[in-house]
Amino acid sequence: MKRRSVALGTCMLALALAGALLAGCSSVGGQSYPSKPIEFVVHTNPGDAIYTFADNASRILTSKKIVTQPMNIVVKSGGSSATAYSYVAGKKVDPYYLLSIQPSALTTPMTQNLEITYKQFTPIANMIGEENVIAVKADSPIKSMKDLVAAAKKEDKSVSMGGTTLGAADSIVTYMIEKEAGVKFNFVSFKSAGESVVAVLGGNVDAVSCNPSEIVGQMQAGTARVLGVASEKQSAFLPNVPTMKEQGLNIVFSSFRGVVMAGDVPADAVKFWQNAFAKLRDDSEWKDTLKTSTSIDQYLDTASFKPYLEEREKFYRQVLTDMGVIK
Amino acid sequence: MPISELMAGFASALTPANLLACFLGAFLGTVTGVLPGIGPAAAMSLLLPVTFGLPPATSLIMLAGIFYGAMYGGSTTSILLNMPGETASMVTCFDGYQMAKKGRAGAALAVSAIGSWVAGTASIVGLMLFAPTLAKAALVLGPAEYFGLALLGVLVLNNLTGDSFLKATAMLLIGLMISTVGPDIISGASRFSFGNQDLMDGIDVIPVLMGLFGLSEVFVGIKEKAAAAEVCKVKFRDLYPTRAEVSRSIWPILRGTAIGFPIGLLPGPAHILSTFISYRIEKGASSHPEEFGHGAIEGVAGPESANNAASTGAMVPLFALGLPFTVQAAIMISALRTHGINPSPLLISQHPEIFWAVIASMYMGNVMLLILNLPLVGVFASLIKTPPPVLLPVITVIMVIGSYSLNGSVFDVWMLLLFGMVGYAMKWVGYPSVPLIIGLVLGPLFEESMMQSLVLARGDLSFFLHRPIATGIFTLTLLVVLWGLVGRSARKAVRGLSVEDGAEMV
Repeated sequence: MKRRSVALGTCMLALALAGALLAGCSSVGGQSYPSKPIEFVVHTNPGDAIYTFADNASRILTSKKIVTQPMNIVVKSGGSSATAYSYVAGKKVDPYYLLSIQPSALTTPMTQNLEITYKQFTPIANMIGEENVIAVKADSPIKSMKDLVAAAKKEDKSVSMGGTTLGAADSIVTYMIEKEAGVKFNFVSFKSAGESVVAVLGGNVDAVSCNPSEIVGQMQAGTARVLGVASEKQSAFLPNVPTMKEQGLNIVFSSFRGVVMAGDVPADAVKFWQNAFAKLRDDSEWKDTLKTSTSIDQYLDTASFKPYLEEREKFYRQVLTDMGVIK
Repeated sequence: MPISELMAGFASALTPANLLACFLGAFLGTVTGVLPGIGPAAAMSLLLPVTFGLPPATSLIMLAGIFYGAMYGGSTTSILLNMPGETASMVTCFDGYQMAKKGRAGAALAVSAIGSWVAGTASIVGLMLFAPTLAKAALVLGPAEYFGLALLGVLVLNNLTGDSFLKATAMLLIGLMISTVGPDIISGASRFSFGNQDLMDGIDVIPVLMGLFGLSEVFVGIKEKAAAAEVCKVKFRDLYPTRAEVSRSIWPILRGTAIGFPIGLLPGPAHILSTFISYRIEKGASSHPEEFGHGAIEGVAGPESANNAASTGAMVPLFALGLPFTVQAAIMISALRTHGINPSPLLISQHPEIFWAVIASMYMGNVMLLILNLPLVGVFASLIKTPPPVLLPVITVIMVIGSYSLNGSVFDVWMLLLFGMVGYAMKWVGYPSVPLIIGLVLGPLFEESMMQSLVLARGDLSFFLHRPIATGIFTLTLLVVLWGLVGRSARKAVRGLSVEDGAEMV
């Protein structure tokens, strides 16, 4: 008799324990998610725009208590962002990892023939974008996009355009202008945007393709003239600079910066971050960071982000193939 | 002479917060300089988030302090242990260590500190007075000129230590080859990566330098066991330079400053290059060049002054144009950006309080560093007394941490170990390591500027002739090569000997 009740008791205890365990693992939302610190993975070091983006987001989300767990920035540099992607891709199912995503997430797998692609991640939201401009030295005879095209039309590659690697935003905008206006520039690659701006200021290249942040200081000082900005409306950072559209060149391009998570994470984790970043977008402190980082609001929620990435991937693939960067 | 602005700058720099920031930066800079493998860029990026909460001037004061502070500390391990604390201190190993072996470590350290102070202070004056003019002048240099300079550098600097010309050139070429591992600047395609993600980004200079110079020295020390540390009693008098040593150092210090400052204006590894060039010039200017490599104090005074002048020179484009030419300057620019200040040529006129506060604090920082370093000479010199079984493992650990801290990757540690073994093997077989480093350091500038020049030339080599400065540099290079060849045959004829591998290139 006694033995049976002990056995029964043990069974009940075991069942109860199992039940509790099951309840714990059943869904991330069962326990309050997030219940431990979150890693926000980036592939660049402090000082770089991408690190700053993640840092601003984490700081504001935690200080405004939108996220109650600590958010730590983890730098996984290397492989032109490939290291960061494989790191988070390997965290499949784990909802405690965020990854910053920008065009290199689409282009690096293409140019480096990687097996990891953006499809292995769960898009959460796009937050910001960066505009692109063309600029020349202040005393250049080229004073508008029209002048630039006219000069380039004279002879193929007679006008040199500074930028960074083929496949980067500046090279893509150059390519789009070439296609739209039917000209060919002599594109000169520099190691960084800063170096390309130095080159144009010294008259070593005729024009430069870059982001507003790289040139706004020179524009204010009167050492450079910005010919046009490749967007729908004029840039808030570059007063009185006409858009390319206004000058007859229908070119609109911006790079994006958003957040994704590892693949196959629970739906409530996705919902949590979707709400968190939506709140972040409306936060006034976040809006201030857009000013200091010279970026624009380009918010896309989870539902819109995925098709956007797909469309962008097709776009980049086509452009890079046309440019001869990939086959 | 903008006296009133400078006074205002001092007023700002002397506030407790800024003084503390200056001291902290200078101290941390010295520490990172002393520790092999950890450089100012690493310390600056680590502290960058801390600066976000500080006012802009204070942030810059601290970051700048780390930068030039490292130029003070770097010579310590170079002199005492033949291991460079910092890439810019590699050259100090040649003669500094030899001086230490002769018991003149204190003198070397002291001269290094004094030279650094003179160079630092003089170049701040240059920064203060001539920043905008110099910056504008530097803009004229384009890819063609940089290519010329890189070529000249490669030819002139490859045999700093006067070893066999063939061996030095072979090592230089290997260094250039290693520098090509990584992304191509135009297409971004990765070269020599063999599919390995770590190799895709190229091989960093620091683990290679630490391996070739630092770790290989550790191996030498292990092999020679306890025999290494035969320390004669270091008398107080021996801690400081003799009058003769000081007078011999004056001209090298002045020359080092004059050379280092303009080189700092150029993009790329300016502070490293400035030391190479200074050493070369000192060797040429000396009345006893055969002493170089065996403890000539000029070989310490010149380069150590040059690297300090170069690090200050690097701030000229930063303040005058708002453009960073070096990694360290780029970090300072991000610090400004996070405070909502967009670096531009208007920085000095729009934010004079920042510029002058930083200038004033740099004067003070240099004084602080002199005060920090000189008395510590005795402390550091007695470091050699640590028995090798304790010292060598500690140094190794520091180098491993330094290499890992570059990218958070164990790959860099493997590079350290690999090049440690390579360096040891090279010492054994008598191949010089310096040209390899020169190839590795100059390689990226050489390759990039060459590619950019060729793209701009569009197949028409007369492009170079249309650029007077570039043509001038190439002509100079040609002359140097001819002089070297003619010099050798002339000496051959004079001595009536056949050319041996050991013949030294001019």
